[in-house]
Amino acid sequence: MAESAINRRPYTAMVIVPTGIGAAIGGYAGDALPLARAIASVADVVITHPNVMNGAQLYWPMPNALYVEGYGLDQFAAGRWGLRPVHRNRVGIVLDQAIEEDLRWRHLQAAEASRATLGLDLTEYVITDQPLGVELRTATSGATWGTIQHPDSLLRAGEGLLKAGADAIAVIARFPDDTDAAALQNYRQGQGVDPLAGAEAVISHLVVRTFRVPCAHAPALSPLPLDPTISPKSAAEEIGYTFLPCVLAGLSQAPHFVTNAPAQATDIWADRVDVLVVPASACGGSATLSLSQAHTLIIAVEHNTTALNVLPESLGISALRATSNLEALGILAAHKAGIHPQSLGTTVPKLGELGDKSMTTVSQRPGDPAG
Amino acid sequence: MKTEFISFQLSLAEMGEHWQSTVEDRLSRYGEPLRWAITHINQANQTATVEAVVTQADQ
Repeated sequence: MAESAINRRPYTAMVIVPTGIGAAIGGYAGDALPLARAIASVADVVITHPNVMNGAQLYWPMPNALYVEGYGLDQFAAGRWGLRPVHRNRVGIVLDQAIEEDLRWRHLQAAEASRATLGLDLTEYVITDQPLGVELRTATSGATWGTIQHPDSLLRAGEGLLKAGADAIAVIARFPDDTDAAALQNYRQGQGVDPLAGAEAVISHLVVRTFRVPCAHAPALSPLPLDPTISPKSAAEEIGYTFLPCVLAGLSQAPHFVTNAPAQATDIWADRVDVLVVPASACGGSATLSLSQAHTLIIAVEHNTTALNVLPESLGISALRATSNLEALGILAAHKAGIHPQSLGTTVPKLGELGDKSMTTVSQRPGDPAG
Repeated sequence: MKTEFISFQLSLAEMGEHWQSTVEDRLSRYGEPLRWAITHINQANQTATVEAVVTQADQ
């Protein structure tokens, strides 16, 4: 984290890589985490979501990063909810009744390990009173979505954990093993769209919408046969029996949601967000649309391609294009320092009289030759 | 309660600059939104495709 000057408020960055749309960076197993780490070294505060932070067995604690589930992120960006940083959360675990006994033990051992090795505070766990019945779907856009057959059972389990003193909820749902073989093979090779991601988001969104507490999801799946050819981008999900450790670590210090006064000095609201980094082709999400109406600088990264093609210009969003995440980092550093990106180019356009359309405008992106 | 996937189109003219409220208003016809996104823009037809999952009360 960069040191803050006394005359400046904390520079706050948000990083969004929507889940289930095949993002080239962030569409696989925690492969946007290096981006979050790099941004956290420049910004004072980073707000991001589990899809960016979770690498199954792997994670990276960052004292200036706030781990915010997607539904909460959307509400935050819309100005409806604020974020209240905390020192610790007591995390409760919901286990889908459909999880086989052996697999359930693997997850419980991961939870026990997080207590013994990381010192996390967990409540007793709850097994849902019905199988959750996760169903996967791929839409015509290429994005993956999903539904669950028994959402009420999930909510009853969550309610029980909150009554037992949980501040945050980790959900482990049994996902179908018999997904599209080609899609799974592509995913393991670091290509295509994560077939599970859309359904995962629906599960955690439902918990956050209902209880307004931090939540994240880890799918329970049978181990896959060893494949030495898999992509490094997918490898984090091949090295253990569960994806739970990153979820517990993230939730253990996830900020709480606040909806009204009395406010605390450490609460963060959307008007604090200085910059948003998002894939250029995925600008149609709720949080991006909300922040596009605010003063936030939106950096749209072109090389982080996705299955979608919803560009900022097509929605009338004023965004600064960056070719790559590395360029986005440079723009972010300049923005924080109060340096106009054009000042870093080979030439600097002359000032003109307001309204003179023959002049080069200051809205050119920093990669343009004139900039 | 049940969860339902839905998809629909909105005209770009209808939305103007009020994407958020226009999409949420339309979603409320189907249920309570859990997750949504504009996933396609058809410039020729001037329409936006919205995909979403909503919750609906049991009948």
